[in-house]
Amino acid sequence: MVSRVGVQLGDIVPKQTIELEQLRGRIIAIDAMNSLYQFLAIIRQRGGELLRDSRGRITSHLSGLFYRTSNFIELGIRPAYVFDGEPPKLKRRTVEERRAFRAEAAEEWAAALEAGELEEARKFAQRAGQLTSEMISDAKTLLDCMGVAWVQAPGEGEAQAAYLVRRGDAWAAASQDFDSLLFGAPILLRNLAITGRRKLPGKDVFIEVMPEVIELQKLLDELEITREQLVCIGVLIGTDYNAGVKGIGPKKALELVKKRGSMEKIMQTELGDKFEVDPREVQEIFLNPNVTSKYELKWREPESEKIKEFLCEKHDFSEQRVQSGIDKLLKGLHEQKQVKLEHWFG
Amino acid sequence: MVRMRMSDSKLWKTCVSAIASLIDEAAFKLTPEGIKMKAMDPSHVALVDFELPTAAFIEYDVKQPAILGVDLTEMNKIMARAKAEDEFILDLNEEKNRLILTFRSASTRRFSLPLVDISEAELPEPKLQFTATADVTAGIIQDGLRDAEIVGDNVKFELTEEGFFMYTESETGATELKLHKGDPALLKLNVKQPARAMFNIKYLIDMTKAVGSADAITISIGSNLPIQLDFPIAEGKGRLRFLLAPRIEAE
Repeated sequence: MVSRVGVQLGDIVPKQTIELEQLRGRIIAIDAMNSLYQFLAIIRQRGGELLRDSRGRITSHLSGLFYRTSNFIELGIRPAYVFDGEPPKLKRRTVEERRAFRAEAAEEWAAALEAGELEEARKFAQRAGQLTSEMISDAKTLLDCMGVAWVQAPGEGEAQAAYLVRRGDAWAAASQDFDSLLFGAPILLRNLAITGRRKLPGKDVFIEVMPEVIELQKLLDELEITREQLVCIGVLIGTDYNAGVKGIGPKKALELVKKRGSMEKIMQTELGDKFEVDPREVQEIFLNPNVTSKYELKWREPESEKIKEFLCEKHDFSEQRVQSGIDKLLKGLHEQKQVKLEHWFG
Repeated sequence: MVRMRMSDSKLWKTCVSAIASLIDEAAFKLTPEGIKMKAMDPSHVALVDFELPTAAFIEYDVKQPAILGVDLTEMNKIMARAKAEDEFILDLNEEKNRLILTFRSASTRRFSLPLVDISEAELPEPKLQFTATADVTAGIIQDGLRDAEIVGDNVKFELTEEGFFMYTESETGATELKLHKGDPALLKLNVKQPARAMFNIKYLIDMTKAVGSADAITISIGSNLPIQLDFPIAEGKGRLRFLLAPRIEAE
């Protein structure tokens, strides 16, 4: 749906679908950018146009963030959004490529709209979404009004989210990308932002999307590899920081890593010259990520008046719908006061 | 071979009804010594711990340990059809993977219930050091909870040297129940340290509704600890215990 990002590990990862209900009481570290991009992709009008306020400012991301988050909180989930900081130097090329991909999609979108091909238009529009710094700061403002915790990562949001889970401050890292696993998140939660009935792009088919849980240890056990070797697989097939080796997909990479054992050994083979950046540098990004322990996860009472002022007055949201979202926030907060029995398990 | 026979249906009926109010499916562990079951509700707020030794049965024949996965909602529906004084027999049809429930009085009525697959990890034993216990007539607690339900969602339990107290407060009003030391319904009181904690009323109503109002409930609490409710079953030979995690009081 979004341009292909992150490591494409899908084929070799054992996953388990769960119900949203099973996340009750859990703290989930959510990759904020990843979610916002997903909202830009799926929250659209019929012809693919983004939602906008009366002054033309995009509001799809705010709509997604507000209604999704209030649904999570009503369900007893405690979301903590993690925002990207400065990307690693090696990511610049990826960032450039994605920008170009979106620009191209935007042109195709305009052309399809002109030709009156709504389905086509929607497809390209979904790919064209671009987050601006203003949109990101709007998202943070909204979370503050809602009393929802968020963390500013020094580097990659996914790395910081994984760190939160490793420290036991969150139960899972939520993202569509498998990179969280490479960053060492013990549990990756996929599809959180898009759970529900979803239309397949370009088709008149609806599917039910459910959250997926991927446990790092289980994955490593099943593949009989270490986390270092998993990172090695990622680097071979390509990450946000390198293009990978041509012709090597997940299955081949797995075979290779098991046969050779480590990146050092692989580099001694003829594959050694096929990396355009030093694979060890890429591995470092995952194994010694740029993260901070200076954060605080705090959820507060939502400030109803501020939410309404921001969404209804500033961005022309329907007051009635916003109120129902606020009610969900209040209800969820009330439920969070319930302690779990696990607290007393030794 | 698995066969368990009880002189009446009342005990099994009460236990299943109480357990089914919390969990939909349960794995009963059968050994030659008796039957055990321990499970948490889906939201992990409540736990039920159930045990019946062979002494609770007039016939108990379990040669090999076995685990019976039971759809409690269905079993509860069946048990609701039993009259308290019916003789109750539980057989396992291993071939068909079904439980056979038989009620015998003037007639012999039989139900069969397919077993379900349940894979559940062994639950650890919670580490709890309660500082106060009281034995209270169940009817008093049931009444107190019904009162509290009118006013709010949560009820505070307090045990001090003076007695046993329940309080509920919300925007709609307040209610309290007091049992002082010496009151006949307060059968026993043992307070090492006064304690107070708050709990969800709905859970407590579910846990206590099946028990007879004249029976005693043993309540154990500690400040901000889960509450433990013990029901006397099979003349003290068995165990039906509930744990319920507390709620954090408003800051």
